[in-house]
Amino acid sequence: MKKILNKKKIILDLKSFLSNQEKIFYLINLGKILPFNKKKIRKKKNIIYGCQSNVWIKIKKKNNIIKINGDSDTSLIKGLLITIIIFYNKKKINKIKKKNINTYLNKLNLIKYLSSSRSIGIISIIEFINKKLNINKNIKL
Amino acid sequence: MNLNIKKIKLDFPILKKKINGNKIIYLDNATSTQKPKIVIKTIENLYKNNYSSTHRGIYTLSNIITNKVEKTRIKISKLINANSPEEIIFVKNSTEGLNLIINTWGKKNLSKKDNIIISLMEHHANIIPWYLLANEIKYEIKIIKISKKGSLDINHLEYLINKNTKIISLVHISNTLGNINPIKKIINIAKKYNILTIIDGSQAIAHKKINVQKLNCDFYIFSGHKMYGPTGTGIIYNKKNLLKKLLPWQGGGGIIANINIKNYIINSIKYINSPWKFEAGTQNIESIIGLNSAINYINNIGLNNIKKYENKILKFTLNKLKSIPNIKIYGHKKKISIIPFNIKNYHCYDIGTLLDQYGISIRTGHQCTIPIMKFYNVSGMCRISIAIYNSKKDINTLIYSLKQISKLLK
Repeated sequence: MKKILNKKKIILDLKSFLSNQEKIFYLINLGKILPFNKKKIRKKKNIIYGCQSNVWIKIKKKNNIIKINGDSDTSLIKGLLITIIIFYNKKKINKIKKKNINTYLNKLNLIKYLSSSRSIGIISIIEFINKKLNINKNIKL
Repeated sequence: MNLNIKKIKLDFPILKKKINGNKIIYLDNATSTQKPKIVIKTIENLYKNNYSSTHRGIYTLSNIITNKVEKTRIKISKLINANSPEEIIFVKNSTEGLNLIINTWGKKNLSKKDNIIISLMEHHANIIPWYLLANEIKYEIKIIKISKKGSLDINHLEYLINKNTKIISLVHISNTLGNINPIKKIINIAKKYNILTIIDGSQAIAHKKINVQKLNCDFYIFSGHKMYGPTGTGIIYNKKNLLKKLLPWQGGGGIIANINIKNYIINSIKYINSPWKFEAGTQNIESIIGLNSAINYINNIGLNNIKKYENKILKFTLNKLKSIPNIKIYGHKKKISIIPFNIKNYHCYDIGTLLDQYGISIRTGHQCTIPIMKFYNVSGMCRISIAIYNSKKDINTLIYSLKQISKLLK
């Protein structure tokens, strides 16, 4: 993942756009960096059910540090995946557990420009990751 | 007759609305059309001046409203040239219409040795109810093949027919491909073998003159909300009251002539006549009466004028779409109103979401026809569907937006 990308930058970028159109264009462009490895990710075991589009997530743990790869057949969802992956990637599980993803999601304000089915899909993705990491938190967009 | 589309657009108040800063361009008419002022006004007037329930009271308001509903039944029977208004049953949509026929006529007349025939291009509403009943009765469901262009394989249909074929249930115009099926030819084949025919006319009714007597089908089903009418109205035409001798599908008020109870045990129930015995409970009164106004609206413009104009826009759109790089249009050229497409490997949801940013509404996804998606090996399609208020200007904006979107998704 590009080093310049981080949670703060995404929040600031999204805030800087006045229209929903600009936000959606931004997310689509953001998603172009995914997946990090297409061949390894699009497997049945990595599919997340409950999403409108196909979504694949692969989680690796090395020395207690999380590494997530993701992919989708929809460009917009890829962009949204990046915003989620950034929250977890290259962090220790203990650190992730202490952070509140709802605060981050609140700052992203995705619900303002996503359809309800997309919002449900985002929740499914986060719940899938949390389940794999044994994190028990209610997700609110 | 040259139609004044600018004036027609003004008949639809919603078209003044802006979506994401752009004037709405509504191209999802195969899902549901927008409603003209005359329909909205009818419903408003009804609630303000004439509202009560139908077939219930002897008071003036109830009589007025009952007459209005029954006049709509007459109007619909004339619209499709039925033999009598009693051949018209009101339901809530085409899906309920198909479920009613399948669960009354189908349940009564089908047995384990029988088979029914549908096609690969059916809407789920003409697949799932058959499948559910087949789980119970164990009859066979046979499926007619389609060509790469989406034409029904008539030779295959004749091959599928045998002495145990009881029903052929087909879509008149495919909701996904827009292809017009040779229904008359198929009905003639069915008649030769004494097979009952059910035609799903949901996508045909607002775009083509339907003459059920000429078609000679046994059932014809459509929805009011796809022909500028309110939601909540579906129509079943049943030839010579085919359902007349059957028991109601749903029980409730308004369908009973008499109930005999002896010693607190129900002895017998006598139902009223068809079509009313298939309309249990309080009807969707305002929608039925609103549909009457929608038919008036169509009749005032003239269905032939609508058909000619929509065909002109369809051809214009097909021609313009050719300028989009890597576009794939599905189905054959003999279409009405509907154009399904995909661009390169871009997901239809992305295209739909981005078109929405330009104020353009189209349908995306499997369109309730997963078998067709699997046939073409795609997860979904984009679908443009045209109505009387769509102009060349709308199409030019669509083409411009699709070009911009293609650049973004590269």
